[in-house]
Amino acid sequence: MREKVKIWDFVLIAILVALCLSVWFLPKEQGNTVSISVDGTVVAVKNLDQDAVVDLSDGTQVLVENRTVRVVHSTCPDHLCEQMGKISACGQVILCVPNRISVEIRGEGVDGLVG
Amino acid sequence: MKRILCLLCAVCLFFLSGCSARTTEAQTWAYDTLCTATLWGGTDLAAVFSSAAAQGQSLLSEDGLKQFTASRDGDALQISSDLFKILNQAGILYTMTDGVFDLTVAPLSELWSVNTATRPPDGQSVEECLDLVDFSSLTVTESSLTFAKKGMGIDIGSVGKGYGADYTVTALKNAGATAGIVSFGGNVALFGTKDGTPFRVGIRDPKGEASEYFGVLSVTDTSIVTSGAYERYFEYTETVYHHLLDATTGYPRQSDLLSVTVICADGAQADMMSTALWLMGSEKGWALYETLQKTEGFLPAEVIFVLEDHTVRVSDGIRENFTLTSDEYTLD
Repeated sequence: MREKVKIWDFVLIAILVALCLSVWFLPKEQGNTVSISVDGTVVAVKNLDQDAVVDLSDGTQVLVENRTVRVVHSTCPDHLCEQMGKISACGQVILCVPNRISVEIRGEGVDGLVG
Repeated sequence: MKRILCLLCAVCLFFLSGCSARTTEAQTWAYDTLCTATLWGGTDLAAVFSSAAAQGQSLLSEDGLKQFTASRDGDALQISSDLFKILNQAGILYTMTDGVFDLTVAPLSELWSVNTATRPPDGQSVEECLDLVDFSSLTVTESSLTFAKKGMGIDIGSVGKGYGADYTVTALKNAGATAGIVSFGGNVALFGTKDGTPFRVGIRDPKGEASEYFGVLSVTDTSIVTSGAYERYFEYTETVYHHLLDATTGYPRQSDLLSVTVICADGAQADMMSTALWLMGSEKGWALYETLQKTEGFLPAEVIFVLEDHTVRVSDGIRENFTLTSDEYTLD
């Protein structure tokens, strides 16, 4: 009898621990637009609903495909930005430091609309 | 074992409590428009919001209508201290815009009735109405307002919603609300923060659908009002007639601005300023904005101008809080 109670205790603990940890694994809010900046200036904003290829003046190419974004080609020496792969969740960023390019996913999330 | 269990439960509760703050969604009608609010903290806030919206409206206009109108020559009205302040600011704007912005435009607004009209009024009627539009003929004291002529009136349209949104915020704070965002038909007032982060407010894309915005402001404790000719207008023989009237000509004003947004702690001021700046156009409007920053009786304000050529001009003090989200527009 005593043993049985203990087992259920452990089951309960396991469930509670799993619940607590699940907070960290909740899916992140999906982004809505991607904002591409060069040297701090926004040069393109694209809706993630539409696939698109964005060619920047320095030869960098950004691909929007199936609601994900990645840098497919860069003229920088290290090509780290290409290796960062796909981003799609709110707040995710791909940086190309040598070319001062940032590619950031932005959310729908406005609290109100004026106008 | 029990102790561990208790500890785990406490940890779980801690996580859960951090996840969701209690919010109230409220809706009411005032100034012929839908007024909405999302509020944090407090209790019974929906009721507070509705009654404050109605009360704010009656402070500006006794019968809850859109304007004060004189029923005879020399008609005098009792006014609230808030309306006195508004009339003072309106008087300054009247002078600085050479009469283009005129709070006594009520008879003209009525004549045009842009919301329901299908064709413009005839020239004769416009001329007759213009005789009744003259802010300089008003006599204003701290407690009264006297109209020179029968038929003159104050058009609350360019000040009421900004004032009203502001007024409800004060009432909501007094009722224990810790944060909130209030919208009176697109005139926004907000206070507090959402778990420490500022509110994100989209600014309507003047060329887009009602739900589309071209940029986002991250702000707190302020009012935001946008004016533009895109919302209320009618078309007649391929000409667009909108609601922003030039009080010197009696006809809708031509402006090279698609919209003007004013961010200011005083909602009534923001409402009137956005209208006046839009009427003046990009060059004169910006100069007027800079002058008002140094004018007594006006609170500091920030502005966002959207020009016809889709460039967006943002005043220095708000630049870091503004993000362009549409590539249809470019920052100046």
